[in-house]
Amino acid sequence: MSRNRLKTDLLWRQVNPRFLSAEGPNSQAFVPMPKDMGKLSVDDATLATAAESFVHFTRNLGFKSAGTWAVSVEEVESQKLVIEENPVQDLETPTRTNLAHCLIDFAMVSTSTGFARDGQGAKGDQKPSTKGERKRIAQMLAAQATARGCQHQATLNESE
Amino acid sequence: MNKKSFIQPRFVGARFESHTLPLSAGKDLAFYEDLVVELAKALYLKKYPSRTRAPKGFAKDFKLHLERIDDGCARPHIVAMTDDDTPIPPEFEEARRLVNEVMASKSNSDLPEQFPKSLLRYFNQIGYSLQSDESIEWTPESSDEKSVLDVAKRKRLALGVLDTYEKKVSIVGQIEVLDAKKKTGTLRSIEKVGLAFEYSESVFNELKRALGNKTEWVQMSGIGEFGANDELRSIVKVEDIDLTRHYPLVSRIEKLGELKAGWLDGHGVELKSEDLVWLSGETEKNFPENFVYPSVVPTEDGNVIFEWIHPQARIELEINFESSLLELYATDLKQAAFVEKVFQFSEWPVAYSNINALLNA
Repeated sequence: MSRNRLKTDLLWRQVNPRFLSAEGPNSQAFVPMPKDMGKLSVDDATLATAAESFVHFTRNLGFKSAGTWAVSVEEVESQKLVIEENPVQDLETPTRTNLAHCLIDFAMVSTSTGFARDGQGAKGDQKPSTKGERKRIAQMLAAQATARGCQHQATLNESE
Repeated sequence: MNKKSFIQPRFVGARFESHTLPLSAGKDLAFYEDLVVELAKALYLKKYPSRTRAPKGFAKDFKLHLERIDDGCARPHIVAMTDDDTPIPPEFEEARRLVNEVMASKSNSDLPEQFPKSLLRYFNQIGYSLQSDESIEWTPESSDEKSVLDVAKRKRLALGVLDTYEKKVSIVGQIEVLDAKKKTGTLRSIEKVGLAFEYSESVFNELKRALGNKTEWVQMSGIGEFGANDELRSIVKVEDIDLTRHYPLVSRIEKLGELKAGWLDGHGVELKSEDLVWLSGETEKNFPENFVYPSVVPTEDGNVIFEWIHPQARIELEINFESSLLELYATDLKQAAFVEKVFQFSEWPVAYSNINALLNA
């Protein structure tokens, strides 16, 4: 069941060290890769802190991150993207459990105006996104996350 | 001529595992001979205080030669050469023993009394070619004390009498000043530090080409003068230089070659070295002067993105190796206006011209 989110709620995004430059995260950090099947992985800030999100990603999952950055629900929805709850519950390997996990769906973009809400979106007006559209959205989100600043910084040892 | 075994040190480190001795390490042995001769002279004068200098021919007849290099890393066998009728003065044997003791010392207050402190300056040269994981054992046959000289010890010994010490250095920067008469110059390092250097005629033409050129970067290797805190003070001898146009950008491209498969959360392919070599070459040829260097980002599927991040704009140029296309994606953040264009690989100047317009919009 979908949660009601406030526009000001934040979503944590872990940034691979290869996608961090002196000016802030590269746009590439906010675009889904082929491995992501069109969906960008984030954590719901109302369920996990920036530090908890970082620790889960690096220690529990064993991935690399330069730190936690954030975009707001409003910033995502203003791009007509849908936020899906995607809690991970792993009974075999409990450390992989992450109830805060969400996905931002870039695979389809809405052609209608107004915000897509609560995982419903504006399904009647959706079409598959082009690479250019995904790039445009990623550049906007990266700029907004950069302006907000790093929410949890990795130490030198943690990031590499 | 007579030859007598004098010393057989052991060079330890990956460079010496094929039982050969790099010529640069051979210089260490030449400096060692200089130290032994100077120390023998000092010991003679101490023994005969009424003399003001060592007897004629005292050092002239003493020469160290490299006879062979034995297995066991590299173990050069050094022999003392003397005239048939002239025995080696005992001061040379004593000098060898004392130098071994100096190299076995744990601190500069632990040096043998008979060793004149002023001669510690020779350790500015002996071992200068050693790298951080290398050492020279001067008495390798000893079970307890091998008189090991490594980077840290030669630094400590040299700083016992000097304010600075010398070691190999490699640095990147741009040439700001060149004095052809004095054969000196100033390099502004990539970290913006100004460094004086001394050069030889053989590198003059390349240095002249780089002088004042904003796009031409110099990778300089040679002997650096370092302070006690390992800060580089100057380059006392330039041994080799290599010019690279737009080095800060080209080096970022080359660095992507270090990525191994799985670099992105277990995904992400290894970038092809031929793609990176091609892109470095195109960048040296086509990147405009006075352009801000972008960040360089790999993609999961093996492409490279140049990204310019400005408060008011994001501009990405994706170099798509598979389709041989340059893909431009740019967002004017204030107007929320988006530009998407595609260029052929032959159209670098057009692509950069478009980016220039976006950067200055």
